[in-house]
Order: sequence, then structure tokens, then C-alpha cells
Amino acid sequence: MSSAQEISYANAQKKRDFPKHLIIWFVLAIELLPFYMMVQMSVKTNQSFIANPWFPNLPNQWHLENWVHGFNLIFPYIANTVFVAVTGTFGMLALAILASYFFARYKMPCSTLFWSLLMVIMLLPGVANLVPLFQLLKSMNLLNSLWALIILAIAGGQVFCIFILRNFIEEIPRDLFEAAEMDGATHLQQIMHVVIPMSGPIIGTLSILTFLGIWNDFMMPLILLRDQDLFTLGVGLVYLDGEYVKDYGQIMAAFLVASIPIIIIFLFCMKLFVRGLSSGAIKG
Amino acid sequence: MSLPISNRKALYEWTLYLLVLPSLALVLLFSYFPSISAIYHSFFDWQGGNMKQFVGFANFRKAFGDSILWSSFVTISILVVANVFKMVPSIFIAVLIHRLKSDKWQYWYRVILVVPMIVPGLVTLFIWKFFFDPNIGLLNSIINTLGIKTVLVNFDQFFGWGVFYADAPISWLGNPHLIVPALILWGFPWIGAVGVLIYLAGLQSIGQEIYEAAELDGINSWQTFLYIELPLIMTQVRLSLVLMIIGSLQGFGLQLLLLGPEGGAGGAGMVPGLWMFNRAFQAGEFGYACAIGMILFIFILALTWINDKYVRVEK
Amino acid sequence: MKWEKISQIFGLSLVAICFILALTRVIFREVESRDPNQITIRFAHWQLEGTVPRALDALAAEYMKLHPGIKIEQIRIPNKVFAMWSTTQLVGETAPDLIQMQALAADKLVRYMVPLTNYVYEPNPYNKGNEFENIPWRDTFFDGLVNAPSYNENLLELYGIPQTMHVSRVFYNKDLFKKIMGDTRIPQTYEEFQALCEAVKAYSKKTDTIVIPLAASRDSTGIGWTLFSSQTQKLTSKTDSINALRGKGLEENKIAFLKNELDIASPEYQSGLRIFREVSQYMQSGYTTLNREDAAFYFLQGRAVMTMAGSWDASTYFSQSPFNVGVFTLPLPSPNHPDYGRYVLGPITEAGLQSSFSFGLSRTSAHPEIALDFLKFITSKHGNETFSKIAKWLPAVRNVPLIDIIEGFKPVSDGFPSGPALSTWGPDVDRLINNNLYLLSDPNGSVEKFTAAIKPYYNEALISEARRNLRERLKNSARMDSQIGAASQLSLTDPSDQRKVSMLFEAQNFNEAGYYYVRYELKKLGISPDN
Repeated sequence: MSSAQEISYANAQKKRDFPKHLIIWFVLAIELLPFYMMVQMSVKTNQSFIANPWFPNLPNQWHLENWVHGFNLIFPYIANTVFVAVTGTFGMLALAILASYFFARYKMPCSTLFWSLLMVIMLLPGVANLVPLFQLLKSMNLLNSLWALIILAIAGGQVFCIFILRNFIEEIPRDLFEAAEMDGATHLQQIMHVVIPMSGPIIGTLSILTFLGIWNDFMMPLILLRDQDLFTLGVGLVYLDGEYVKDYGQIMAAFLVASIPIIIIFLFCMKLFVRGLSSGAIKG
Repeated sequence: MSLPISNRKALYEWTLYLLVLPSLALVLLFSYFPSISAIYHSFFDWQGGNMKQFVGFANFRKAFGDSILWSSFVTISILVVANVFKMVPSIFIAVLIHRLKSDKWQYWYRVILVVPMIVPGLVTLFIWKFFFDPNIGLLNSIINTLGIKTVLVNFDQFFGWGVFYADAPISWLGNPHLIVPALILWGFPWIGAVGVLIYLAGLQSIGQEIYEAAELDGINSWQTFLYIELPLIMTQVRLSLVLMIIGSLQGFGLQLLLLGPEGGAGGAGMVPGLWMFNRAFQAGEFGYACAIGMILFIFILALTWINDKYVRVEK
Repeated sequence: MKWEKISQIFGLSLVAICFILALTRVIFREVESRDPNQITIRFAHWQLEGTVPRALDALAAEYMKLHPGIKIEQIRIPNKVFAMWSTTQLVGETAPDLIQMQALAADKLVRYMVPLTNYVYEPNPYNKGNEFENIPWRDTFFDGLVNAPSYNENLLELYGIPQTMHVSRVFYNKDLFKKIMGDTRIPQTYEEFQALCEAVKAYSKKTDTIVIPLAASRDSTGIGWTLFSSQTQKLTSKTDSINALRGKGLEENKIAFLKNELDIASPEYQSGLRIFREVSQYMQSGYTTLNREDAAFYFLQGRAVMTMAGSWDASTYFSQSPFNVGVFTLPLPSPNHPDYGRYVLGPITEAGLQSSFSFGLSRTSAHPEIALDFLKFITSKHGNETFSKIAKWLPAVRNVPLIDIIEGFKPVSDGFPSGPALSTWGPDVDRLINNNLYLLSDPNGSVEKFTAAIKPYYNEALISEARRNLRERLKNSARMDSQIGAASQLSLTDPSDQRKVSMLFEAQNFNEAGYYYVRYELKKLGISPDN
């Protein structure tokens, strides 16, 4: 096959991809509809939204004061939220990696028991868990403190992350661990030098998922914190959402402003995140 | 799989237990302690306050005679089966993206898929409510414009369903026969961004050259999917299946938002989670709700076990 | 280094910098401790609508000015988490001083809230100088504080002090109304109301636009049930005659149903269902699946001429609609109406209206006397007037002048009581009715279909409610016994506890009488009172 033929073959292949692109664009368009709505609603007043819910207004009718309002609403909570979300995500992953290493490395005595203990909790539906949890935190003197939020985030994310990470670490070639062991590496060193570099992408993925969860949570801050200057961002958002006749423009603007930090992180770590989710993510 | 280890070696490696200890302690303390309180309360007549009365297995006996609970299990079973089929489009799109020749496009499609994750659920709810609205909604306009309504009405008259009438708009969420179909239709085209990315991950190991070779061998795209792609993502499929089963059996948020705590017309949207919610927060029967939770747990456990046992494909 | 790597490092260091900034802020803030001598009174509620928090903030500011050294803090909790929030705070003993009252179970009330009964017989000091100067606090409220959730009739104690009252009105789109009817003469009779709805339907058909006469939702089926209760008005006297204990007890109605003294198939109930169905045909089809936000959206979009809503929504409707909004009271069929007049006594009075948005005092309050004083301040004539003016809600205190915007919500004081309802008697009856309401409201439903679906299960649901009620009464009574024991012991040494003991006895007698009444009637009907 000559190179000219090869090129024309490749071109033909790309042309044959055209219907695939069409289907994908069709699906993506539906998936992006909520995002489009969020953006176009964020510059409308309730009146203009009610009059014209589906189509964007002309730029000269944009109500950018919604964004200012959103920013003012979010701003006082930013420091608390960043503190809780970063500490929580970091602590959650650190512990989950250690535990996953335990399950993935050797089949230690009792490890099946421990594994079942963790998995069962994922299947238990929560009915009236909040009151006992609250009393527990109270007896531990953790109420009205950001640490309560952090500890709950760490504890709450363990099972899911261990569930995924374990499979991931098991996929790492044995030889790497054995070579490290030969060099006299302790378990912690093996985790630092083998596990983390090899599963960087999935760790990135889990961290963004955890981060998003803590970022938007409103229930726990409301219930556990007394001082309003300790509240996190989700509380501010739920105040808007909870009104009877919602001001959709302000809600959307606030959500958009609140997601800007996430978008910034996301843009810079995009490769990490996408590759993380995709490069062999969950293996059972 | 993790390596089997001899008892002697395990003794020597005892420090490994220190690694799992913090996670286990946190989970036991903050997840088990509250849950065990729920198990404990399933044996009480309890209204959520500090007064309670031990009733033994009375709550469970009551649950076994509770026709609403059992019909809610039938409803959720239908929804779970539907959810299994709703996993297909995600797999389809993943395969489609993976088969694209252009690496650049593959990358950007993945990026775009992640964007909707930051949108609040409120917006999605608003859009879908509009879709199903009987009077001004999109679905009914499509049905009317395409003339499907006449067909449905004729079928109705022929079979005597009593669901579609020529002179009334179709009330998708207000008719007991249409609630489950509407819930199934909800979220069309049923693409889960995380799901697609996970499947793409499994497909990663198939290079373009394999496709070219397959094409030269005259294998059509369906066969390619069946023999090359599907086996590679089977593990991911199984995992999504576990998470989906757990999620849909415990979930009731959509039903609560759309149909209210009573499960809508004819109670057709009543699922076990919603019944649990209804009993706890409408009727104040927290003890009974805890018992329903336990029954639900056993149900999930059994399904997960079956999934683990039978849906296993060797690579 | 590749661009990709640089951007990753940049992104991660950005996170690190933000974290360090946040950390310093958090630590810095935690260092500046609070003044331990600062008295702080906190009050919590779920009324997030802009005007209400603003009104309460204004009152708090005024109070703080009057009492330097006291800090008042408002806590707003969204409605959807309020129940969960307040339960955890009460059980965990971290509740704020004042909490908006909701339907709390009696055992929670007793344990976590302070009964206010003893305080309301004194005049409110903040009414000094006005006509209420020598009038007991209690009697400055339009309803005398005899309604739930302020007053608990099982415990015979008052637990909350209300701020407002709510009435429902028909809101209408003045512009659209004028376009269709030519004028804005509001309907005075049910016939006129019906003619208006028909005119809207005809207009919608003629112009081929979607304009619905009434925007409704499953949350506020108000119009239908209000009309319904006009048809059962005459049955009130029937249940009155069997009122063994108290006029407003629901138990008597349940028993009357079980005894077949009340019957869904009776002409009154059937007529009520007919009028419910009739007016449903003027609402969006499938409205039983919509909630109040959807109904409001229909109305505000100009797709409906009218909607029924509470006075609490007035400011939102007036400020958010791009058209002129008016309100009127829903006209009921008059006694000379050819079809429906037969069962009607006359217009339904709103004089028996209940006060609401009441605050209760939690037992964990560190400064109960100050919290109570603040409560007195905001429910003084002046305080309630300020509240009503800023919140644009109806006042709960008598003689408070109404501002323009809520003028149309002045309660109808003349008229007759409404008749017994069909639902709202408990979760099981509610479920039965709501699950089958589509049979009544859908264009292809009918009164017969609905009756046929309800009747076989109605008594069963009522029995389940009656049994639930018995269980609750039994628990209350058991708890009360120990209280009576303790109080009687104390009263031996302290005679001032005598009144307390006699009150407890009275409540206990009332509770037990109710218990034995229901039990006796069930047994007489051959129904086991236990399940």
C-alpha cells in the first residue's frame, strides 16, 4: 500500500466517523442542556425568566447584578469551605489509600471479615441515623466545629473509595512491589513510591468527586454548626433554593459563581481528571 | 487478586493492620453506630422521640402483612430491571467515542461529558417537569404533532386500557398506568457521565490496530463489540451494576419530588425507600420505618450476592 | 516540561495557596473568642421569604437598642430540613432559645419546650400606654391562643406565641381578566365564578392559546376542598349532636363515619365531590401531580387567569408578576343555588381562623426570662405592627391596622362554620384520598369512580388512625402519671404547686376520657382497638 493510498484510506476512515460524531453531538447536546439553562438563567430576573424561560436574552438585557449577588452570598463562606473541602478530601484519600493497600497487597487473616464489614455499611439504608450521629458528635465535644464536618467527610467517603481503590491497586503489577521490597522499602514507602504514582489518575478522580460532595453539602453544616460564621457554601445555596417562589436567576448565578473555583481546578487538572476516570478506572 | 499469605508471614507483617485501623475505626464509629441504632429501634414502637416501647418482632410481622410494602417491592423490581437496560446507552456512547479515529476528539468529548456534573439538580428537574407537563409539555406536543396520540387512543378503545382519551391531554405523572413508564423514560437518553468515562477506561487497551485487523478479517462492528469490546469492559459493567442496584433500591428522591410522599396516583410510584420515608416522617412510625429499612437491606444484600455469584465473566 | 505538566503543577499550587489562605483565616477567626458575658438570644424559623427575615431583623435591632448588652440572633433554616434540624437540636440540647413551632409529638413538647401557660395571664409590659395595657397578654391575640401549634389540647398547655394568621384567597391576573371579560368586576357568587371560568375556557379555545382558568397544584387543592366543605356544612350539626367531649375533636368524626352516621355515599358528601370535580375541570389537567411552585409558575407566566394562594404569598405575587394582580374571596354557592344550595348554610366564616408562625421557648435556653421578654416585645401591638408592615403578613394581634397590600386578606368574620372534611385526618386517610384523587379530578374520572375506589378502604384507614390515636393517648397518659406523682409529692411541701397538680389532673382526665371514648366506641362496633 503506497503512502498516498494510506492517507486516502485514513481520510476515508475519518469520513466514516462522521455519523458517529453526529450521534455523539446529539447526545452531548441533551446532556449539556441543563448547563446551558443554568448559564442563560443566571443573567435573568425572575420576570424575564418567567416570560422567556428557554432562550437567552440579548446581552444588553443581561442582569449581571445576579452574579454580584451570587458572589456576595458565597464570599463569606469561601474560607470555611476551602478549609473543610481540602482537609476533608486529603484526609479521606490518605486513609482510603492506606486501607486499600491493606486489602490489595496480601490476603491477611481477617481481611475478608474487615472487607465485609465495610461493604455491608454501603448496603444499609439510613433511616433515622441523624439523631444518634448528632448525639455521638456531641458527646465527643465536636459540635459547632469545622472538624466535625471534616471527620464526617473522611468517615463517610471511606467505603466507596476503598471499594474502588482496592481494585485499582490490585491491578498494579506485582513485580513493582517485589522490586521495592527487595530494596528494603517499608509498606509506607511502597505506598508512596509505587501505589500513588501508579494510581495517580484514579486518586485525582476520587478527590474531585469527594471535593464536589463536600463543596455543595448543606445538611451537615446546618445541623452541626451553631455559629453562622462557620457555615460553608452549601448553606448559602440552600437558602436561595429553599424560598417558596424561587429567584431562579439568583440561584443559578450563585451556583455558577460557586462552581468557578471548581472549574479553575478542573481546567488545570483536566488531564489528570479525565485520564484518571478513563485509564482503566474501575476494575472489579 | 490480593496475594494469599501464610500465617507466619502474616504475623511478621502485623504492621499492615495499622493501615486499615483508622478507616475501620472511623467507619465503625460514625457509620455503624448510627445504623446499629436503627437496627435496635426496629424492635420498638418508636416515634422518633425519647419514648419507646419494646415490641419484639411486631414491626416485622406487620411488614410481612403490609401489602403496600410488597407492591412497592414489585415497583422497584420493575425500575431496577429498567435501569439495567438504561445502562446500555452509556456503554454504546463509550464504544462510539472510543472507535473515533481522532484522539483529539476523544479527549474533548470526555471533557465535555464532565461539565454537566456541576449543574444543580434543580435545573434538570425543571427541564424534565416541563417535558412531562400535560398541558404545555414537550412530550405531549411531540405525540400530538406526530399523530401518535390518535394511535394510542385507538389502541386504548380497542383494548379498553382507560388511559388515553382523545379529549384530554395525557397526564404522564398523574395516571397510575403511566407513572412507571414515565419514571423509566425519565433521564432519556440515560447517559451517565461517570459511567461513560469508566467504560472508556476499560476500552483503553484496545488500540486502533485491532480495529483495523478486525476489519480486514471481515468482522462486522457488532461482532467487534461482542467479542472484543464487551469482554474488556465486563468488569466495569458488573461494578456499575452493583452500584446501580444499591442506588436504585435505596433511592426515593425522584419519586418524593415528583409524586409526593404518598407515591402519586394509585400509589403507583411507591417504592420501599419512599414507604420508609412516609412511615417515618408522615406517620411518625420510626420503629416500623427502621424495620422496613432492615427488610430492604436483606433484599439488597441478596441481590448483590446474586450479582457477585452469577454475573461474573472471565476475561 | 510539557505544558500539561506545568498546568497541573500550577493548578495544584493554586489549591495549596487557597488552602493556606483559608487556613489562616479559619485559625485567625477561631482565636478571637467571644465575650463570655455577652448574652445572646437565638431564634430559629423556616420562613425564608425575604420580607419575613427582614421584619424580624428590624425587630431584633430595635430590641437590642432598647436593651444594650443583649444580642439577638436570627437563624434561618430551610423548610425541607427544619424538622430534621430541630429534632437533632432539641434532642442534642443545643437548640436555640426560641424555635418556630411545628406539629411536635406531645412527648417532645413536654421534654423540650417550656409551657408558657402561666405567663400569658399577665399583661404584656410592652403594651404599656396602649389599649392593651391592662389586658392579659393572651387576650391581645385575635384567637385568644387556643389553637395548635401554639396550644396543645392534649396537654392543656400553651407552648407558643404566634406572629400572624393565614387566609387563602383567589389571586387573579387583572390584565388577562380584563382582556377576556371586558371589565374587572370580580365574581360575587359561585355562578359568576363559574361563568368566568367558562369564559376563560371559551377564550382559550377561540384564540387557540393555552389559558387555564385556575392554576392549581397538589399542595393547594384549596379551591376544591373549600367548595367541598360548603356542601357538608349542614352535617356539622349532625356531628355536633354526638359530640360527647368537645366540638372540634376529630375523633368524633371518625367514629361517626364508622357508625355510618357520616357516609361518603350520602347526598351531602356526593354533592361535595361533584362540586370538587366540577371546579377541577377548570384547572390544568393533571394538576394533582404539580406542586405549588409549578402552579405559581403557570400563573406568573400568564397561562392562568387565577390561582388560589395564601396571604403569605401576597408580596411575592404582587412584586414578581409582570401584570397587575388582584385578590378576591372565593364565592361559595348560596343557599338558593339550584344544585348545590340545598346543603349550604351560607358563607364560610374565617372567624375561627388559627394564628400561626408561633415561637416556642426551649428548655435549654440559658436566659429564658430574656427570651420570653423578646417574645413579648415582638408580639406587643407595636412589635406585631412592625412585623406586619415589613413582612407584609397579616398581624396576629388585635387592632393592628392592615397595610394596603394585605387589605384584601382581611378575614371574613361573618358566616357559618365549614363542614367536616374527607381527608387531613391522618397519614393513612390522606394517602387513600391522595392516591385516588386523580379519579375525581381527571377529565375522564367521575364521582362514582372515586367513591367506588375510596369507600371499601375508608373505614379501614379510619380505624388505623383511631388506633394510632389510642396508642399516642396511652403513651401520653403513662408519662403524665409520673408527672402527676412528682407534682403531688412537691405540692405537699409547697402549696403553690397545687394549681399545677390540678391542671395535670385535668389534662390527664381529658386525655383518658378521650382514650376510653374511642376505645369504647370501637369495641361497641366490634372493632378491636389494638392491632
